[in-house]
Amino acid sequence: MRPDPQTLIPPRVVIPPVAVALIAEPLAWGILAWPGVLDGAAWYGRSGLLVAVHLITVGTLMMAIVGLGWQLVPVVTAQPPPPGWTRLAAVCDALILSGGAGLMLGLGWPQALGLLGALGAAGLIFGLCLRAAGVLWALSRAKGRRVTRLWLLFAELSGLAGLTLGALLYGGRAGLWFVLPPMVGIAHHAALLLLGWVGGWMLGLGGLLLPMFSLSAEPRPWPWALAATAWFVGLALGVPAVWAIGAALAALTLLLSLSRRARRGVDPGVWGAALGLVALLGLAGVSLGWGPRPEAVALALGLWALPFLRGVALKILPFLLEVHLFVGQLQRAPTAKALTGERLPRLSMALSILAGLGVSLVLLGAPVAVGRIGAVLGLLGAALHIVLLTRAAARGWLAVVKRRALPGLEAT
Amino acid sequence: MTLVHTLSERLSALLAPPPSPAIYALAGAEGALLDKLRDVIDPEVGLDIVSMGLIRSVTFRDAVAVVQMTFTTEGCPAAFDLYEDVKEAIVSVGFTPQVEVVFDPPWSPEHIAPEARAGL
Repeated sequence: MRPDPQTLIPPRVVIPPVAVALIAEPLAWGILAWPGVLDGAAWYGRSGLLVAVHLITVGTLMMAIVGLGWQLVPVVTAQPPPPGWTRLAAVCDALILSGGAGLMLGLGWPQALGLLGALGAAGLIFGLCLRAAGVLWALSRAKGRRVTRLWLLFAELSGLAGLTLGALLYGGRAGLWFVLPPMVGIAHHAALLLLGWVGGWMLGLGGLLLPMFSLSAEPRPWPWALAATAWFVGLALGVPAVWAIGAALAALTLLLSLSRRARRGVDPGVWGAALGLVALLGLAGVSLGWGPRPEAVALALGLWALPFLRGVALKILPFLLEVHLFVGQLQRAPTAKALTGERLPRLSMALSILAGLGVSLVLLGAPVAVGRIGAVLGLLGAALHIVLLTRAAARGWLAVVKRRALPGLEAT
Repeated sequence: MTLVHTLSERLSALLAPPPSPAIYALAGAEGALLDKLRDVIDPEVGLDIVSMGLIRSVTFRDAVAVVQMTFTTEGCPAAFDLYEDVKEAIVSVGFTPQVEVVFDPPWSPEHIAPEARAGL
C-alpha cells in the first residue's frame, strides 16, 4: 500500500473557516472590552454580550472545528476522505460562513436586521447538518481509533440537538412560541453545543493531536471511553454530576498521557492546552459542588475552551501551513517551530490564559475593570496569534521562493 | 523474597513496552541505504525518519531495494510527501524503489531511537 495524496485536503476549504475563527476572536474580545458590555446583572439578551459570546462560540470555536475538521476527519478515520469530501466541504463552508455572518448581524441589530439573522441562523444550521451527515458517513467508513470516533459521534449528535434548540430559541426571541422557559432553553442550548459539540470535538481531536505533537502515547482507551460516555450521558440526561465525572476523567487521562511525552521542552501549545485541561478539571469540581450555574459557561469558554483551542492551534496550524507550502519538497522545509519562532507563541498563549482569567474573575465578584483588562489582553493575544501565523506563512513562502531561485540550497 | 522477586520481574516484563520494531543501524549495502534514508526529515519533529523509528526493514532483491516503513499516524497529511522522499532517496543511490507502508504494530514514541529521544 502507499499513502493517498488526497489525505492532504485542499487549503481552499480548510482556510476560510479557520481564517474567520482567527478574526472572530479579537473582535469578540474587543466587544467585551467596550464600556458597558461586561457591566450589570442582565447578562443574557444584551446585544453586545450576546454577539461577543456568539463570536467566540460560533465565530471562533465552531469555525476552527469546521475548518480543521475537513483536514482531520481523514486522520481520525485513518482512511482517505470519502468521495466528494472537498465538494461537500466547499458547500458547507459557504452555508456556514454566510449563515454565521447573518446570525451575528441579526443578534447585534435585532430590530433592523432580524430577518437577516433568521435567514443566517437557518443557513448556518443547514450547513452544519449537512456537514454532520458527511462526518457521520466518514466515521462509518473508519477503521481503528474507536474511542476518538466515539467522541466525534456523540459530539455530532449533541450538536444536532443543540442546533434544534438554538433554532427554537431564536424563534422564541423573535416572539414565536417556545416550549421551554427561555433560561432553561439557553442552558441546554449552551450545554449541548458548547460542551457537547465543541467539547466533544476539542477533546476527541485534542486527544489525538496533542499526544501526536508532544510525542506521547495516546490516552488509555478505557478511561478515555469512560470519560466520553460519562461526558455525553451527563449532558443528554441533564445531570451535571455525571458530566463532571466525565470531564474530570477526560482531563486527568489526557494530562497523564501528556505527562509522559518524549518532547520535554516547554512548548507553549502543549502547556496552554494542558492549562486548559486543568481549568476543565476545576470546572468539573465547580459543577460537582454547586450544580449547573450560568457562570460555568463563561468559565468554560474563557479558561478551558479558548486556551485549549489556542494550544492545539499553535501546533496544528503551523504544521499544516508547512505541509501545504512545501508540498512536493517537504524535505527542504524549515521546521514548524522555525516558521513560528518561540517568543510570539509563548506570549500569545500567556495572553489567552490571562484574558480568560480576567473575564472569569468578574463572574466571581471582581470589579468589571478586571474583566475589561482581561478582554484587552485577549484582544492582544488573539491579534498576536494572527501576526505569528501571518509571519510564519511569509517566512515559509520566502523559503519556497528562495528554494526555487537557488536549487540545492538548504532552507533550514 | 524469591517469590516477590519473581513476581516483580514478571510484572515488569508484562508492563514493559514491547521491543521496537524499528531498525536504526545495519551493515553493508543495507546500512549505506539506511544512512541515505537519514536525509529524509520528519517535518514537524525535525528528526530523520530512521531515528524517528519509521523504518522497519531494508532488503535487496537484485536491483530493487525493498523498504518497509510506517508513519507516526495513519492518514497523516505529510505521509505522501515522506513516502515520495523515501523513494527518491532510494533512486539517488541507484536502486529501484519498492516502499511498503505498514501499520502493524502502530508507531509509538517508544520507537524513537534512545539517543534521539535524549535530544528532544
